[in-house]
Amino acid sequence: MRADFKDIVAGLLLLAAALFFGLIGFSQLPLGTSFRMGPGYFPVLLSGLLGVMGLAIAGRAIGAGAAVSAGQIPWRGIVLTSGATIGFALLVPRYGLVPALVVAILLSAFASRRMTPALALALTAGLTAFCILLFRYGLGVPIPLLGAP
Amino acid sequence: MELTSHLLLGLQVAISPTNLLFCFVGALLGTLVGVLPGIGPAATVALLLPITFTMSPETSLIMLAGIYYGAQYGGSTTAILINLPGEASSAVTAIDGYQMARQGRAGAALGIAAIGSFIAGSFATLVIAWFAEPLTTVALKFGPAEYFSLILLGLVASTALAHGSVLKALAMIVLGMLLGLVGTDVNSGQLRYTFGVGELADGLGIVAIAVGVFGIAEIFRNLENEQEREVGVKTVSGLMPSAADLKASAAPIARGTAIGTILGVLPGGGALLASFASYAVEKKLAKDPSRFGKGAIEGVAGPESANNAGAQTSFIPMLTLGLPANAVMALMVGAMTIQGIAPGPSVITDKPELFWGLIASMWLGNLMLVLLNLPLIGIWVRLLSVPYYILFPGIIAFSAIGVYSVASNVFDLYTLAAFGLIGYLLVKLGFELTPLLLGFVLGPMMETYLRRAMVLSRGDPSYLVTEPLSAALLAATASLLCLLLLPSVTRKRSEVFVEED
Repeated sequence: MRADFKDIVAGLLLLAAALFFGLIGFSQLPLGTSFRMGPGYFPVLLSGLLGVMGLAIAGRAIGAGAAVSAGQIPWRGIVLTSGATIGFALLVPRYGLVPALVVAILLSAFASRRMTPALALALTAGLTAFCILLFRYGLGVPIPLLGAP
Repeated sequence: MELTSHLLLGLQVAISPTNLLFCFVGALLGTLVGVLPGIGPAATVALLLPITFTMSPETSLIMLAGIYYGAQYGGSTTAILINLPGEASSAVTAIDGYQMARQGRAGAALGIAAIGSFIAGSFATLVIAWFAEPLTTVALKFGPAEYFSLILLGLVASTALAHGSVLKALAMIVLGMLLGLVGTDVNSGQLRYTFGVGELADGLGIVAIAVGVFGIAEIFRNLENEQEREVGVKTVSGLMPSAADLKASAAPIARGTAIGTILGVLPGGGALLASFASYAVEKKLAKDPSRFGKGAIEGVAGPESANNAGAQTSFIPMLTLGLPANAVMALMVGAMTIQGIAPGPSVITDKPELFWGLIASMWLGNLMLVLLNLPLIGIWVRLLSVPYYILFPGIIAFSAIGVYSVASNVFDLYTLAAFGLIGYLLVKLGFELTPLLLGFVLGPMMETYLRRAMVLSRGDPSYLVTEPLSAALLAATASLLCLLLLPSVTRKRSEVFVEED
């Protein structure tokens, strides 16, 4: 059977989101009436619409030509870059801006295969200094450099 | 004359030293991100939103606007010099601009692009000033039913210019709207979809979402195949186009300005459509169409004027109705809301200094771009050869600090990481992200207007079609929707946008 698998996944993903928002809205939020709409009315309405669209996208894909391959997925970059943001989030409230920045920049620097250790260290030092000058002293962003506020 | 006095008021605001400085900073930053790969105006505006909270509303909007039109300039520079449009709307410029550069006429191409953009930008700014007041007078008469229908029309119309499938773009709008509803329901005070996370009571942060989908997800896409950017042209000389060039470009600039001014008002990327339309028109009108694609200066002058005019007039729906036409405008609506200004028709009467100051600053900003960017072109050329892997640790660091500084909220950083991944997944599945952000901003507005309309009609949905103006808007929406989903139109659309990829 020929099918555009990318669109089938896309449609099913939308359907899942619709079910998520719809079921929670339906079971936990008062719907109200159209005259006095409750907090659940509009989300449930939208979820229904999204579900129909998801089904239509997936349904249309069956029998359609195969999609172009997804191409390369830069797993190393995704893991390291997301890790950089999460590392920043974990460090900044407890240890302050400097350690958080150093970790985030070092991790994201190695997201590219072309990065060399020496360049990464230089980049980390330079960018950390630049960010501190710009945000802490230039713009007065109230994040402590070291330690918790 | 009233218009003159308004523009004078605007100029007074715009030439205050602070505003002038930040107009310059915005335009310069915009050009920078237009030139640099991997970070666009939407991500930049989102990143700088937190910084602007401490400024006055005028200064903040003047700077954010500068980033937007500055990026249009920067985008055309890369299109001409390395055949790599920095912004989508410069894609057509690359066709003939890059050929001109290869023939050693990069200077003339850059010069005419700047001159055309300035003329177009100045004219479009005047048009905004002209139409703003009559439009807001009409908009002030709108009731909730009309607003609901108008937003619906705008959202559907924005998908007409989406690159991929219309259905998928519509689905992104709905998903964005649902995400926009997360948080406290303003009517009942009830928490929706917060799952006991206290930080979600105020909703998902627009800065975190926008930086995630336009900044982080874009990094992932750039990491897919890393390659050197070839800068074919190392030095640029002779920025002033010759008299013959100017003569050949005059009419295309005028036509491009007209096309851009009109199409820019359309939601969803009028500037992009305008540049394509202008290129098509110039090719059709040319005595010898075969020159196009081989370095015809008309093919640079027309589209560049069109996309700049379009970029300016896309402010009209945002300024007069409070309805954003693209991702940057959606973020500007966010900026106004955070500054405590309700975007909409009342801005022009309640905050005339903000409204006219912003308009006057656009003209000044365009002037600065011409005066400063042409001499700075050497710096931009050198920046083009900065390898990408050096840039994006900086983007990550700026994103993290920017998002965290909104409210010193760690949860926003997790939102940022999550939306980077979600954005990349959606792009991989063939979805577009601009409709998601438009839905996110407009979803809660639509709910409010629908609720008010239903209270007025005592719960009768037919109220939306018995009010004549609302009915007309809904009829337009319905016919547009039918048109967009017609198979023949779907084919045509894919042809129009095929050149872009």
